[in-house]
Amino acid sequence: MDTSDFKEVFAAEARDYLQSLNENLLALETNPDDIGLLDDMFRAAHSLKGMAGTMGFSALADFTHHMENLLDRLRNGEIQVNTEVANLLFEAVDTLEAILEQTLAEEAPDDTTNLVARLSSIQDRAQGGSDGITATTTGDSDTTVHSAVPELGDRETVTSRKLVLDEFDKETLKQAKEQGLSSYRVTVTLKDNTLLKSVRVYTVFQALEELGSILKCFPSAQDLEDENFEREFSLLLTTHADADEVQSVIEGISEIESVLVAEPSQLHLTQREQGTETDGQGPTALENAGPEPSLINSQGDGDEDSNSNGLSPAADVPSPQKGGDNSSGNGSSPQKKGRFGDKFVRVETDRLDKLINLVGELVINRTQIVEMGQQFDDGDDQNTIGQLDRITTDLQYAAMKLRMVPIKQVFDRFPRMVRDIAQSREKHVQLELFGTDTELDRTIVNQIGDPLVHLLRNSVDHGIESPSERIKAGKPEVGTIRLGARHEGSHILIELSDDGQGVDVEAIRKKATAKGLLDPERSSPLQPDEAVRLLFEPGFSTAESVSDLSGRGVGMDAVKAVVESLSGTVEMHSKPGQGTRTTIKLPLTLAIIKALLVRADGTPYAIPIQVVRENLLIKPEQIKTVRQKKVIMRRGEVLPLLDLAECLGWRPAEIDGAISVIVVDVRGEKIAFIVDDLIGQQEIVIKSLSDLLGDIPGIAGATVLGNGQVALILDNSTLIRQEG
Amino acid sequence: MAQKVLIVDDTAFMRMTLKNVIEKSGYEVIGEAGDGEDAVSQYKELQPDLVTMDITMPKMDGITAIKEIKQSHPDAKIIVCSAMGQKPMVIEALNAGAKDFLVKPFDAERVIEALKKAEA
Repeated sequence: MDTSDFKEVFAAEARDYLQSLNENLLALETNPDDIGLLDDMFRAAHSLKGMAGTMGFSALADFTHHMENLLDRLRNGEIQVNTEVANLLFEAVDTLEAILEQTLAEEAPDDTTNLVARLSSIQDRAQGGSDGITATTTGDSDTTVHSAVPELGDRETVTSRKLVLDEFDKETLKQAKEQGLSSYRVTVTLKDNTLLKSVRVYTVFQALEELGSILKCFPSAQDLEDENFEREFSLLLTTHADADEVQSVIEGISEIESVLVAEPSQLHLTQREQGTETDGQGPTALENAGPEPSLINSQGDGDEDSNSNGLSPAADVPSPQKGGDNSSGNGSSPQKKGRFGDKFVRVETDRLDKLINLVGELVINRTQIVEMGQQFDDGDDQNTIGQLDRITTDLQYAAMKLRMVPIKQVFDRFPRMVRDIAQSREKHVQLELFGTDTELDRTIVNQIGDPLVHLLRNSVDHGIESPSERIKAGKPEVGTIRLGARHEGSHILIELSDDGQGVDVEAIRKKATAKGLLDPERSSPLQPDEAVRLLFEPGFSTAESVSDLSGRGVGMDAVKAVVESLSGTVEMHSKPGQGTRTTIKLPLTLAIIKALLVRADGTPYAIPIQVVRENLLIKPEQIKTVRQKKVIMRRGEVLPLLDLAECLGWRPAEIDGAISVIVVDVRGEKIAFIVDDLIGQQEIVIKSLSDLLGDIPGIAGATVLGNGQVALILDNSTLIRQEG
Repeated sequence: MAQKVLIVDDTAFMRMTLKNVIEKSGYEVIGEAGDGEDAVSQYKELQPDLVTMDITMPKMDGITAIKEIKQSHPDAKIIVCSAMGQKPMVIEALNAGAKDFLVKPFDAERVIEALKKAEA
């Protein structure tokens, strides 16, 4: 089966299953007795194994198989969940994740021998010497059974000859004949590579039991069940059907290579061997004997009749303790939330982006048509245009919704991460998530993860105190970190708070002074909010030593930079001894932004509205020169004054009369730009520039205006750096 | 007329691979269900000629689904799909009325053989 087309779907779904394994495992740690969780985990591992097998990812399938085994034993209560088991499972999930990613990247997967050994040893230990558990593992032998093929020829001939009848069988056959029944020796050969051979045999028996009775089989029922045979088996059938009927019934079954239905005269009726396996004494399965074969019941006295129905379907059912329990368990366990049952379509993001882009074009055209329509002022046209307007707006809204994904996608990996960090720091931390269904633009979701990781690490590392310190401070031993998201107007707020010790003002003061960020002469005490502001200064990192947790030289300024690149803001408040709260405010979507349109050297430009502080009209005499640079004074602040057109390499505006100036604020730095004039405020659809143009400093993208004109969108940060 | 098939599996990936194989062989896939409950209700609604039924699924497992479908539609032709090591459950499914079984990972020829034989 060619599976390459499905790799992406496989990857996405496999990651989902891993996530669910992780989540359930975390939940399991607090509720070790929750069988429902184990059921879910087992199912996830099981599905993953099947998928991996289909893709031909054998390393992944094999490893998942070992995990699945352990989970199966856990959910059946054969092994108890304890810390050791949980840690092993965590490790297994991590390894699984690694193998998955390596497999997807077509790299050689890690060696898992060690871990697999530990997975099995934990099972062996739990097993001890007790019996009965073997039943759960018999199925595993499936994987190896058909690899042993050799010397078929010889053994098969021996096999068929060994269907020997004793006196009792002969008597039964005779009686059957008296009742007008025929007897046949049926020899069936399974196809090469038949999987679950015993079950295939079972289907044959099941089908034949509908036609008549099976007197005897070779190999024995037990051997057939244990798959101690190659591909061929034979049986003795009494039936009122004719040979052709028997033949066609069996041929109607899958994976049958050939069927031979022979008359009883060809049976080796005379040759009696005392081979124990042929006597039918063996099969213990018979003890839960099923319905008696109805046709030849006359002999039903004494225990002998157990000989006769060697392998009736009912008798062959391997003791149902496992199958039965599982299925009813699965069926009745209420699902918390139908994560996988929900109806979703996976769509390539490229297609989605294309659709949204096209909708953007349509929106622009709509604006043009609405403008054109106003010139003609015909009642009917207005109606139609109004409708087009509404539908387009709805369409735009719907398309935007497609880009929105729940922030859950980012939050999902945090509980595990916080657990791991807290454990390594010997702290007790619980992470509470709320508002995980809050949706925001996919682009933002993809990028907000790293800053949040950083903030969470800081909280666990610096915020939450060690258990003893917390008790000393009269706080609960377990620290709490709350992470949540909610909508507020056209923005989304992500809030992270902890009940830790707050920022260490003194440590920040020392460090800031050492780094030259703070005047060493300063005598007034540093206020918490002031300290927080210092945290966000480039190059500031509070960690004393570089651990693997925080303080890798990427400080809070990196967080701030990412958030601002997403047109958002970040604020932090800290109260000594009570905790820290960080709020990130982000726009809902990046595809459409509000922009101020200005003209420079006759060309329109769009400036994202959130960086525009104010716009003013100034007179030439208000322009001052400081160190050969033009500046203006504004509320006591000195703002550098640049000409926008000149910055972009065009002809600077003439300075006479009233000059239009806009003041923009980029990362706290205010700069005034001279422009020709202001056009107005408008929602614009951002289009990226073609790859041919590449990244042009100062330009973030382009948009098409209502009149069809193209306006470049200014990227203020790079524009300023250029002037720097 | 092409035989109509309902695919039941909790993973979209499996449904996709199965659908691919099945449709290439001239069958029509008229529905896909992600769990047993969904399978039962889709069976009633769509009345497919053939069903491929996964065993391990959320909400309602495949065996229970087979039993429910068989109860209202004794002639339903259901092929149970299992993984290695699910022998007891496959047998239970066969007892519940499944016509045939497939073992994952699927082999395209086996899938088609199962459909053809079940259809007969």
